[in-house]
Amino acid sequence: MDVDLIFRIAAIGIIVAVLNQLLVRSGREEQALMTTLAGLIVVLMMIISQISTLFNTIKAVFGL
Amino acid sequence: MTQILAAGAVAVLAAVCGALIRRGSGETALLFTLAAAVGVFLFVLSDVSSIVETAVGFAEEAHIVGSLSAMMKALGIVLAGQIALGVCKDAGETALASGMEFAVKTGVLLVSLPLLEELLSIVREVLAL
Repeated sequence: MDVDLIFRIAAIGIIVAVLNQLLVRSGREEQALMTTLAGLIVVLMMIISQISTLFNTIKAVFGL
Repeated sequence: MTQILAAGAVAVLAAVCGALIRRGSGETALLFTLAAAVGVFLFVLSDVSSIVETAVGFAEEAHIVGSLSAMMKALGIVLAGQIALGVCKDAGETALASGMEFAVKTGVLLVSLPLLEELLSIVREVLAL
């Protein structure tokens, strides 16, 4: 049960949220958007490998 | 039993963390809950293979291996589709969710077509007598 991946994504999410608020409050909306976008892409890359593992396992177990 | 508790604990924890992250950025929260769901699925799937092996053993005894493999394929399709359906509903995209639901139903129907033909042939034989 690789729970550390889930907590790593939670940490990234919270940091991105805080940075976003920080940048928005200091008047830099564009950088805030860029930061959120970067955080999103990092999380997406981490999840894609998990999803491919899951779908391969389903294919193997159920003989699809 | 402990696995169910572990999976439940992770799911509840992920839901709470997801709600926290959603305040910051909704997209990351969506990805976070998706990662948690994939984690729980992987965790439970490791036990399913033993269930499938025993089912195949019974099927060989009862000489219904063909229909069992169709059932297993249908189960796999439903499982895979369920994750996508859940994510679409979490994101609030009901149109996408209904499209995904339609895809899962067609997939299952396609897999079970040979079973239907087998059933029809048996019925024809019985009626022909």
